[in-house]
Amino acid sequence: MATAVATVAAKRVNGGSFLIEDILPADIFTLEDLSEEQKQIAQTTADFAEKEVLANVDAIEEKQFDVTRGLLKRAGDLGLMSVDVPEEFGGLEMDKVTSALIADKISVCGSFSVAFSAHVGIGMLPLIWYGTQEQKNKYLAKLASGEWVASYALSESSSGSDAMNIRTQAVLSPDGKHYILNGEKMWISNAGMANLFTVFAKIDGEKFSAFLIEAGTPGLTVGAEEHKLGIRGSSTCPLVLADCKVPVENLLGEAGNGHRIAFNILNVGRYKLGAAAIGGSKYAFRNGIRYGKDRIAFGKSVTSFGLIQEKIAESAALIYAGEALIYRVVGAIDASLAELDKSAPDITMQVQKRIEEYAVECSIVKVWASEMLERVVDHMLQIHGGYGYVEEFPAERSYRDARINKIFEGTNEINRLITTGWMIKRAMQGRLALLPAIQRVMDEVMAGPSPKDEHTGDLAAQRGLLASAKKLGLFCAGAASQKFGNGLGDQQEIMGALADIIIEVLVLESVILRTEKMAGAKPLAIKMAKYYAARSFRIVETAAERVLAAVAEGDMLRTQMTIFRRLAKHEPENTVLLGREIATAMTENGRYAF
Amino acid sequence: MRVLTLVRQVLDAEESVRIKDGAVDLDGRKLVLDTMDEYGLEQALRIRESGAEVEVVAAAIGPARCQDVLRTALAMGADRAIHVETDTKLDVIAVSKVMAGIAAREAVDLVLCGGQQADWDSQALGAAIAERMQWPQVTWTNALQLNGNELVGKHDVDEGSASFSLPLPAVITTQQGLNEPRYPTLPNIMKAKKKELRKDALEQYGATPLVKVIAESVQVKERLNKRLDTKDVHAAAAELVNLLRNEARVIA
Amino acid sequence: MILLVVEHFGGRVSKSSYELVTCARQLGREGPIAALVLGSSVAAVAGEIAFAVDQVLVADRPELAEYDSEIWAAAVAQIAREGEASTVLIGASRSGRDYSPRVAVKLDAPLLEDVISANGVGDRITAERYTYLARVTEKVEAQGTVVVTVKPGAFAATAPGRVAAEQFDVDLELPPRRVRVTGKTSEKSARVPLSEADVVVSGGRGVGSAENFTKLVEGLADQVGGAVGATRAIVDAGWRPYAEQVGQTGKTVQPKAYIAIGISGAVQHLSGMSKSKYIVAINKDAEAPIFKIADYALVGDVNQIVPAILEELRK
Repeated sequence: MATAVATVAAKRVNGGSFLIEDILPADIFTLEDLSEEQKQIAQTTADFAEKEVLANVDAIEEKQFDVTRGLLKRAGDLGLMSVDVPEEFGGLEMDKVTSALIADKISVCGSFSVAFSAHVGIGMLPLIWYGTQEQKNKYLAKLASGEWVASYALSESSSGSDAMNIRTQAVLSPDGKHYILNGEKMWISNAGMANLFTVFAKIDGEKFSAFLIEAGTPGLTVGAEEHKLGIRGSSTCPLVLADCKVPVENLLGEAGNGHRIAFNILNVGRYKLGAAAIGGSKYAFRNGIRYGKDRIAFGKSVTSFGLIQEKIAESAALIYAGEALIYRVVGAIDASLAELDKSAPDITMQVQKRIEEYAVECSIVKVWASEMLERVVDHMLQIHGGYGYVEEFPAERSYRDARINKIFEGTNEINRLITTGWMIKRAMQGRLALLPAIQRVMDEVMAGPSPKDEHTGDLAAQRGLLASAKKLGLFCAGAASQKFGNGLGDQQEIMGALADIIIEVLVLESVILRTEKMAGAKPLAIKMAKYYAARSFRIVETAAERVLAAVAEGDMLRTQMTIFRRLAKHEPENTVLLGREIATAMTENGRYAF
Repeated sequence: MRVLTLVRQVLDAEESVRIKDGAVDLDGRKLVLDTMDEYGLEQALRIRESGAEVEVVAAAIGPARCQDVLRTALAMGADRAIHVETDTKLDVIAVSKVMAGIAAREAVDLVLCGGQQADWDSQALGAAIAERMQWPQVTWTNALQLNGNELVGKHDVDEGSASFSLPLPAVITTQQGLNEPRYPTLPNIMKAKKKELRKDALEQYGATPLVKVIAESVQVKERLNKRLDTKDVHAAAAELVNLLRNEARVIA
Repeated sequence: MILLVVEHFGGRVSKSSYELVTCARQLGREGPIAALVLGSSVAAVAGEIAFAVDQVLVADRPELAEYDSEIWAAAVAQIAREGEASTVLIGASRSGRDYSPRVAVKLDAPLLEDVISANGVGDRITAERYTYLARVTEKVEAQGTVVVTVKPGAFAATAPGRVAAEQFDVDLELPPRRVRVTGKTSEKSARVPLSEADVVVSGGRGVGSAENFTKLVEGLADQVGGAVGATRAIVDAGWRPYAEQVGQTGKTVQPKAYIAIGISGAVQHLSGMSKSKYIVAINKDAEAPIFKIADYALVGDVNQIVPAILEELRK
C-alpha cells in the first residue's frame, strides 16, 4: 500500500477495553500526531470547503443539485473521495484518520457534508467491501471521481431502527436473469441526484440482501423531496420499486448476507459523523465568536460578559474533547488495520471485522458528538441574540442542520443501547474481561474505605475523577446486573444511564491522555481538560445515582449510596474562573485555536 | 528548461497581527505560502503543462518552519525544492543575493516570484534578482505565455496596462489575475513525499543584511466610529454632509 | 549629493517629485539636492523642477520617451556614481518600485522601500514604512549610500521657490531595450487621479451592478470633485477598470476623505486606504469589517442613502 501517513501509530487495543484498563498517553493517536501529508490533506480539504462549498451555500440550500454535483466532482478531482478506494481502482487507499480529517474539514455546510458522506461512506463502501471485480470495474472509478453519485437505500416508512424488518421484496425471475423488486424506501439521502443506489430487499421474503440499481432502471421511481427542518440542500426522497428488474449480476455480496453489509457500514458512518460534528461545531464556534466580538452592548463587546463566556468556554472544551475522542478512536482502528496483510484475498472482510471490534467506541462517538454539536450550535445561536434567529446569519442554519445527527446513523437511543448492550454481550462471550473487573470493584468497595490512589501531574485531580468514574461505571453495572440479570436489556433507562457513564469514561480518558501527551506549552489545553472533566463527572454522578436508585432500595440502597458518595468525593475546580480564561483566549484568537 | 519559483512563508491575511517585545510575533499563528508567490508557482506549472520540457524548482529562505511552504509547493506539483535554512532576518536586497546565487547554481532560465507580498509589503525582490543576473524583468504581470524562447504577456504600468514580449532568460513578478492557483490534490500530496527537498546553508551564498529592523509596532488610528441613524435617510444624509463640511472639512 | 529622480507626466512635474524634495531636505545629509530628469522633450519639466532643487540634471533623448527598468536603472546608477550621491530618492510609483531595486544592487547599497518618514543622523538613515498589508509600522535603519523609494502622499509637497537652479545636460550610457512593449491601454480619466485626490469615492460588491456603480459612485465622485476607486472584486467582475482598484494589488491612497460604498472591508482592500484621514462607510451589513475603521458609519441600503446624499449636496 503506497500510502502514507500515520507515521505515528497508536497501540493496538481491544475494543471496549477502555472501561477496564488504563493506557498511557503515548498509546493513543491525537491530532498533534498528524503527519505532514495529513496536515496538507486537511488543508486542501479546508481550502476547498471554505472557498468553494461555502461560496455556494445558498445554491446548495436551494437544492440546486447541479451545483452540489459540481462540487462533488471537484472534490473527486482533488482526490477527496478516493481515500477509501483501493489503489487497483485508482484510489489512494489511505488510513481512516485521513478520511476522518476530510469529513471534519469539509463540514462547513451541513447539507454538503451529508451529501458528501452519504456518497463516500454508505454510498461507496458497500461496493468497495462487497463488490465483485466486475461490479467494481463498472462503477467504482465513476463514483470516486464524482462523475456518478451514490445513494444507500435501507430504511422504509415502517422500519427505521428495526432495519431487519424491511418489507421490500425480491424474487428471481423465471428465466433466472433478473431479480424483481417491489417495495418502498424512505429518507434516502442523495436520491434526487444519484446515479447508483444500493437497495436492500428480502429475497423470497427472508434472505436479507443488497442490490446495485442504476438510476433510470424501469420500475425504480424517486419520489418528491422531503421538506426538512435542516440539511435542506441534502436530497432526501422516498423510493418506490414497482416490478423493478435488476440484473442478477447486480446482487451485491451473497444472497442472505445483506445484514452484514448494513451493520458493518454503520460503524464507519458513526465515527465519520463524529468527525463531521467536530467540523460543524468549529464552524459555528467561529461565527459565534466573530459576532460576539463585534456586537456591543452596554458599551462592551458581548464576549466580555460572563454568561456569554460560559457558553464560549463550554463550547471550546467540548470541541477539544471531541477532537481527543474521535482521533483516539479512529487512530485505534488504524492501529488494528495496520496489522493486516493488504494482499489477502479476504482483506475487506478482515477490515470490517476489525472495525466491528470497536463498535462500542463508534457508537459512543456518534452519541456524544451529536449531542455535543447540539450544545455548541445552541450556544452560538444564543450569542447572536435576535440575529441568531434570522437567515441573514449562518447561526440558524448550523442550528437546524445539527438536529438530524441524533436521529440518523442509528438513533442515539439505539446507540446508547448498543454501548451498554454490546459491552455486556462481549463480557458474556468472553471477549472482554468485564465481569472480573466488576467483581474486583465490588469487592473493593464492599470492603470499606480504601486509601485514595495517588495521581501526579497537571491533571492529577482529573485522573482521580477518571479513576472514580471507571469504578462507578463498573460498580453500577454490577449492581444493575445483580438486580436484573439477563433482563437488564429490557431496562432501557438503566441501560441508557449506564451508557452515559461509559461514554464519559471514554471521552474523559481521551481528554486527559491527549493533554498529557501534548508537547510544548499547553496551558489552555490543560484548562479545557479541567473544565471538561468537571462537566463530565457531573454527568457520571447523575447517571450513577439514577441507576442505583432504580436497582436497590432500603438498606441495600443506603449501603450503595455510601459507596457512591465515597467514590464520587472530590474537590471541585473553579470552573467560573477557568471558563473566563478559556473564553478570553478563544475570543482573542477569533476562532477555536490554542 | 528550468524555472525557479520563489516561495515565501507569510502570516495568513485573515490572522490579526500580534506584537511582542517590539516585533511581530509569529509564534502559533497561521502561516501560509504567500498568494503572490502561488501565482508564480502556478504559472510555472502551467508552462510545464503546455508541453514544454520544464523542471520546476521551488526555493525558500528562512527558518525551519519554511519547509512547510516548500512541501506545499511540491504538493502543488513542483519537481524539487531548495531550502536555505537560516534564522537571520535578511532584507530584500540581501535575499536577492541568495536567490540569484541559487538561480545561477541551478542554471535556470526563468525566475518567477511574487509581486507585492503580504508581510514585508515589498516589491523589490524580483527586480533585484534580475539585476544580479543581468536579466530583463517584467513586474505586475497578469498574463504570461511562453512561445519557444520568448515570453509574451500583459502587465500593469503606472497608468493602465501594457502588453510585452521579451526573450529568456528573465525574471517575472506576479500580479493578481495571472491565474487561479490549484489546491494540492491528494495524489500529489502523496507523490510529494518522494520529491527532493535540499537544504543549503546561508554561508554558501554570502549574503549579509544591509538594512536593520529596529522596531515593529501596530498603530491603530483612532477612528470616530460615529454611527449615524439611518432610519430617516434624508436626515442621515444631511448629518453626513454637515460633518464632512464642518467637522472633517473635506468638502466645501 | 542627494539625487532625486523626477516623475513627470504630460510635460508637468508630478506632485510626488515635490514630496521627494521635502524628504531630501529632512535627511540631514550633506550636499546639493540634484534632480534627474529622464525623458524625451522634457525641457518644461526640467525648467519647472529647477525652482525646487539645487541642481537639475537632464537627459533629454528620444530613447527615453518610453520607460524601461534596465535603462532607468542604468541611468540613475550612473549619475549617482558620477555625482557620488549619498542618497538616491525615487518615488514609489509602479515604475519607481520597478527599477529602484536594480539601482540598489548596482550601487551595492541598501534599499529602503516605500518609506513614510526618513531622518538622517551622520552616516545613518532611519526610516519608517508599512508592512503586513499596512497594519504594522516598521522602523528601519541603514548606513552609507542608500536608495530610498518614497511613498506618494507621505511627505508634504515642497512649494517651488523663486530661484531656478542651474541645469546640466548629462551623457548617459544606456543599455539596449530588451523588453518590447507591444501595446498599451491607458486608462486616463477626466477626473483627478486617485493618488492625488482629496476625496475618493469608492465602491464594492454591495453597489450591485456596473450600472449602479456609475449612478451612485461616479455620481457622488463627480458631485464632490473626487476620484473614483473600486475593490478587487468588482474589478475582477469587469465592472470597473484596474486603474481604479484600491488595495494590496492596486493603488494605495491616503486622501482626506475616503467614502466606501457597499464595501465590506477585506484586509487586502483596507491595506490600500486605511490611512485615509476620514473614512465614511455605507453598507447594509452592520457587521462589515469596514465599520471598524470608519469615522462616519451609515448602516443601510446604499440605493437609498447615496441618492439622499447627492440630493443634499445639490442644495
